[in-house]
Amino acid sequence: MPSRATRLFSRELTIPLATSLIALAAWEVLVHAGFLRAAFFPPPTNIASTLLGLAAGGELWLHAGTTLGRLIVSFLMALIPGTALGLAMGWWIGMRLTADPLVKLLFPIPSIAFFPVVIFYLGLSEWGLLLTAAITPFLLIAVQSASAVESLERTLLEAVLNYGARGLRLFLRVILPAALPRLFIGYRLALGVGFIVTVAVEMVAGKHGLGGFLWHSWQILRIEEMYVGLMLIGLLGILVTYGLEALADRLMPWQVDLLRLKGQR
Amino acid sequence: MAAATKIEIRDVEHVYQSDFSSVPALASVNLTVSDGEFVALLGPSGCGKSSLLRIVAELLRPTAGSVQIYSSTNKENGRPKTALVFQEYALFPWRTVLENVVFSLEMRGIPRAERLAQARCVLDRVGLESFSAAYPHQLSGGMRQRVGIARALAAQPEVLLMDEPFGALDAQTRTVLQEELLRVWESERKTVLYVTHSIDEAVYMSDRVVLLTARPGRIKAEYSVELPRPRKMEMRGWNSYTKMSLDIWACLREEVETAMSHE
Amino acid sequence: MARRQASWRVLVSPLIVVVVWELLSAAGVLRPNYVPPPSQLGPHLLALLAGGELWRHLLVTLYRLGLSFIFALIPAVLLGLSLGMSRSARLALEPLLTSLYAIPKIALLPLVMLVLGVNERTLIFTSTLTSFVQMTVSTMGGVLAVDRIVLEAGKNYGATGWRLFRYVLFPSALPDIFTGMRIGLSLTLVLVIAVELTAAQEGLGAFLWTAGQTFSAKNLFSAFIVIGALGLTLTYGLERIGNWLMPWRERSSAAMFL
Repeated sequence: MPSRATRLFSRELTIPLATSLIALAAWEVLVHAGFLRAAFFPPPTNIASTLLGLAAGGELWLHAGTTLGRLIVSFLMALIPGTALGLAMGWWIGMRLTADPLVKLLFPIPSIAFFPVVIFYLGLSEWGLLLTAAITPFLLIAVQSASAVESLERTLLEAVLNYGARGLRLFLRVILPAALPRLFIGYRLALGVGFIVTVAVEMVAGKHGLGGFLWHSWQILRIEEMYVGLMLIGLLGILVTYGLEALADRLMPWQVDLLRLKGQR
Repeated sequence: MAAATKIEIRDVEHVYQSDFSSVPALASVNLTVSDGEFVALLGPSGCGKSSLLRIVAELLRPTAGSVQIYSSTNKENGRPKTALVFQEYALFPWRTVLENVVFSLEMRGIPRAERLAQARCVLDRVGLESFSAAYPHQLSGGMRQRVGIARALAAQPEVLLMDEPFGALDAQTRTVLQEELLRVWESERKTVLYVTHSIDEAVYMSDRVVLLTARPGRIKAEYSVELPRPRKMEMRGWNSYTKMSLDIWACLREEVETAMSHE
Repeated sequence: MARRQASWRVLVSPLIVVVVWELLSAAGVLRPNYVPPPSQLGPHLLALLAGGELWRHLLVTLYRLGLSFIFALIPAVLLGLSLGMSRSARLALEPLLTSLYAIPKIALLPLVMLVLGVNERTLIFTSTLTSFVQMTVSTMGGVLAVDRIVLEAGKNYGATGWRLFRYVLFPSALPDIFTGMRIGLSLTLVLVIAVELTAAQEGLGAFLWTAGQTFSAKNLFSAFIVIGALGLTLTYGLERIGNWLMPWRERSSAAMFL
């Protein structure tokens, strides 16, 4: 088996890294040579020093933290009721018949469209922002959770009931692990949408957070700061998109091989 | 009278190379198959039998050695050298049953009316004529494999290659399909290379059982199956059948144990 | 499962909601200026549509959405196919594509506005980019997910080179390409409306925002309903088209999200 070090220097990592560095270097050169307008595309070195300056100042941490916090809170606001509703929908047919049409009706609505309606009643408040960012994710999680329960193999349940697992034990030991992959698909989608909405609302409402910081720096034409904001949003985005994937692999190691076979890892 | 040579596998070796390792799959395989012979390739997991099949199918280039397939006529007739039947069926999900079967004829440029007629004929032989317009996902595993076999036959290959075709099916379906395959095969008597890990299947189906060692695979032994054709279920109870199966197992056993210790 | 029978039952819950809403309004629990009852909302919406103003906004939004989609479609599919088939191209472009995919495109708006100005062009560019990135990633994923043995079967049965692509690889990847189109349209709609909220004079987002600013609850809900209807038509309409185009797709209730 190859050592960790050889893995790290594999082609999969070095080529993307190399091309990124080359691209950044090219950017730097082109700006200094005058081919790229510095006003629009400040050299990466300037952006880097701005980043360090802001990071030292502390303001940046506030913005990043705010956005991250909003993301987490709105996600939890969607996760808990969403999973509960979804599991209920999957388990009891009555629940499904009632809630399913409503959920199916609401989730395709562009998530951002909820914002003006929400703030009409709640004003331009933190709750308004959080609620807006939680609605579509809530619906997505509900649908995926319902689907997860529905797709549980009947024989699996029968076998387990036969071996004496009831109630909570049944739930924790059997239903949850079996449903986890599907649930994670819902979480992944929900987090993605929640992130988009959070940033969009922050930009529209201009209230702290990375979105607000980004918008504000553009307005006062502090372009290097704008790039810093953009970078951080990007990093957060990568964390959201791929971090959850990594977490999923950790929690469900049995899925990893399956996904590898399918070429999805 | 000796039948003409159909397949000649000479000194074939294969090593899988990756960035980190090299895995020898096959080591110096030499095999000759006569025209119309049904040969079973038997061996433990990982012995390279599937790799060998893919080498014969020209999907894989061996690191050494060569494979020669002789055509039944001397002219170029457009017929493909091989047609593979896969364990996982490998049907084209976006095509109906009929469209799947007709695929190789379509690739060869045979005119529409003619190729559809040929395909329908083959489907009839495997008993799936009424499912021509169905999609693979609507069919059971056994039916899908029948489509796979029909697709292979419709291609009119010189040699039929089968990679554990019934491995994914339940035992009952498997038995039924084994008999069906033999029935369909009887009429044309194509040359067949049949990979399996089941001794019963190898003995029941073939004229010759070729035993491969654990990885890296090479030919350990060959057994000539003297049972008369057409094969019948009762033969599974015959003494000669049982004896041969036990002999093969005795030889195969140590290879299986070697293979298991590799993991 | 009683799936077939449930087709009319789908309407029951929404209808109950509407009825309860109306009753609460009639009982005085919901103030009409604050939460207009369906009985007032319906006529108001129809009046807006008949009057032409709402139609105009709808068409503007549709135009922006459609244009971006059409601009992005072919380049994205072509790029996605190339990336899926070529490992070196994939490795080279991966950092850029990954970063773009992870960033909400609305965050790119300030940069685009800087370079292109604050105008319609910027909006179209950004929304085209949204469609483009999504469809490229989905297409690439579709190609990468093609079952290797199906490709082997294709080769074995006579499809080589270009024909392997046309007759095996492309049809195999088609469902994922189509899903990419659907998700791309959804995300682009979100972007267009988000931008319209504060940065445009016309379009459903603009109308929605103005309704809120002028405290017209009836306009607010009317706009919301039209936007919702648009979203619903896109999602379910495309699903229908997908089923017609690709009858071999296995359908599951949650598959439409993936």
